[in-house]
Amino acid sequence: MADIAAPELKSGKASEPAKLVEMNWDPITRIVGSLGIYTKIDFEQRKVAECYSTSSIFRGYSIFMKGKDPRDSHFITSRICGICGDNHATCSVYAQNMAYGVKPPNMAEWIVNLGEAAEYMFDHNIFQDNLVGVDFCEQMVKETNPGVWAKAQKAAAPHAEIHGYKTIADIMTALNPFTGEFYRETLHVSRYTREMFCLMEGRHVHPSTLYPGGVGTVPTIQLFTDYITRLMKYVEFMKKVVPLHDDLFDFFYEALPGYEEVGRRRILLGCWGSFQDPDVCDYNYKTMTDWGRSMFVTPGVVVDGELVTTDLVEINLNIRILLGSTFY
Amino acid sequence: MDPESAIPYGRKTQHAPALHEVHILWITAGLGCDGDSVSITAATQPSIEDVLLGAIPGLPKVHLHNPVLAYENGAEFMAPFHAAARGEMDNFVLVVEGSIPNEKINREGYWAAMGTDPDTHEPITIPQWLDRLAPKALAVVGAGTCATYGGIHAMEGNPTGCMGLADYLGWDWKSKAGLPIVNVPGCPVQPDNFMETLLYLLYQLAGLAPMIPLDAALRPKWLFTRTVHDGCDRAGSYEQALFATEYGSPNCIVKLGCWGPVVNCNVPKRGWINGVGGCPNVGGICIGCTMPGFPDKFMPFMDQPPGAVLSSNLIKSYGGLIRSLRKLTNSTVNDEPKWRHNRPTLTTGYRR
Repeated sequence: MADIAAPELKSGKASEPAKLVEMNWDPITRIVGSLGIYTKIDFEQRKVAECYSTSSIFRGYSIFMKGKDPRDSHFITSRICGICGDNHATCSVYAQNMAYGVKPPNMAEWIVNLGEAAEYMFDHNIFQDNLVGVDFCEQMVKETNPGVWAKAQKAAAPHAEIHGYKTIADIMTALNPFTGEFYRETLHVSRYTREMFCLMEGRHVHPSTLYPGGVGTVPTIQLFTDYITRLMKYVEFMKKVVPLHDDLFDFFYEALPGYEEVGRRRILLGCWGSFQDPDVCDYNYKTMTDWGRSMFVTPGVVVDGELVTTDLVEINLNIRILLGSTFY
Repeated sequence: MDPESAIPYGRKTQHAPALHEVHILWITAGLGCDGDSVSITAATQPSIEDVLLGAIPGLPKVHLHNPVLAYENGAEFMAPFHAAARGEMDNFVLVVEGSIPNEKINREGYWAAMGTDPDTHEPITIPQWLDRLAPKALAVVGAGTCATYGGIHAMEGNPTGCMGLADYLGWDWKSKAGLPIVNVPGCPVQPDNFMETLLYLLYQLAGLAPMIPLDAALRPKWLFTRTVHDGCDRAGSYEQALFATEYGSPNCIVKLGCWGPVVNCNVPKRGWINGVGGCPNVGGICIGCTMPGFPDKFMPFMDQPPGAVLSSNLIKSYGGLIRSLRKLTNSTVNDEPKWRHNRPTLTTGYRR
């Protein structure tokens, strides 16, 4: 668990010294990349007094990419991440298309869209149930919240008829890492969704068939048959997964009052869009507002719950990279 | 009944593994992307759960300590690494992912670290972890090209001076159990290539297999001896001088940047995942990601390799001729023998 240091007496006003407990989690596991969280917690006031995050790896992409052939960019930037590298490669290809003034053939755009859609499916499964899901498994709940485990054993799962797990405890047991049945089933699904990805983009996580101006994938009847047969297995699986998650998370809200506060903060959402519409997108900066809004997931910025913009030009112009605490 | 004959035959001929339990300490904190850890979750031959749940006979019990998959967090996750460094763990394999940074060339701070030293309260850098753990490990394995040869982060102009395991420990390094560094390159490593190698090592440590056969770059021979070209289904196009000049063509893509003929890799042969996908076999140029020379000796990736200019020209006349001859024979064998017809005479050559 967390690294806990002895309570530290900090003198503020003579009448109210705050007792701060240092708690650190470094490394955070079940993520991709390096992250450590360091906090000082006032348990009496039930407040986090201080919190810092740190990443303990520096690689230097912006430095070693200088002077290299720009056509190689997406092959290189893909390596920024080992679970979502293909998204980096796709964005790099979009940027290259704009820079070189090229528009891929429509079929190429559809192939990239299908590949990235498969990536969303793979990533959802492996992240939600093999990485995050472990936080809700029997082993974790028993260790951290035995009272909740006891409740879970008696709680009937409202959608048991659909997903097959009679009680919430059964769902939790099925999420145990490696031994859990649902953990293993979802891992298997993450494999055939990666097969779908590989059909379109060659290999995972760093694609081989993406190029500026198009793809190297050969579109055949077999290619799309192989894709749709796997897609339908995934659709069937999701019919079970959605009610299973509903049952599990609804139970947590009910069993742990206040749990709905976890993650509650100012609503700040940013999205620069996904999945180009080849009939609209010509990779021209002049028309970016229009083709941005034609993306199948549209771009947008939400601040404090208000939609501020859906204009990709505006979003792009307002991005800032804050270098204060970095190597640069 | 004679107690000897009551023992089943299999039980008499099997022997217990030389090692009953082994820990895999997996450091992802080199300069990497965690892509190799993600890759092993795609493997099926064997799958990670096959190994951990004991589905394959003869293996020791395996305890995996990998941060991408681990149940434990923070200090609890780090405990086995510290225990091993203190010499309290006899039986562990050290797997390294990500390039080894050069911590001798920075001024203050560090390039990559994992955890904190309990005495100095300073971060423990990756080279320090190697110094502490390598001498005590049964084997040291490089997962992916970054750990094996430096890879992408070691490209020309990089600030960290990073390198592969053998550059740091020495190419002749041997573990306390007598094993050399085992390199399983690939960017990322092909899922089954890694799990198959791990399985072999577990057999070897259990006393059931001889020393793992490695090539001069410390790669498993049975996986990395043949080239991409040897295993590519478009080699036939190459032989017939059918070269793609645009992407999306089903023909050989050496003119578009593919380095297949000189790269040691089995991906076109075995596919990427479960036989699906790959690189040039599905239209993606080979950029040489299993090789010590990667990426610099293959850049710019999108240009035709110099050797391909020569070979593709040399094969033009042979390829063109052979194609026409084959076309001729192909059209002959695409015609049925003349005696298959629906006329009222038998012309098959049958004699009473």
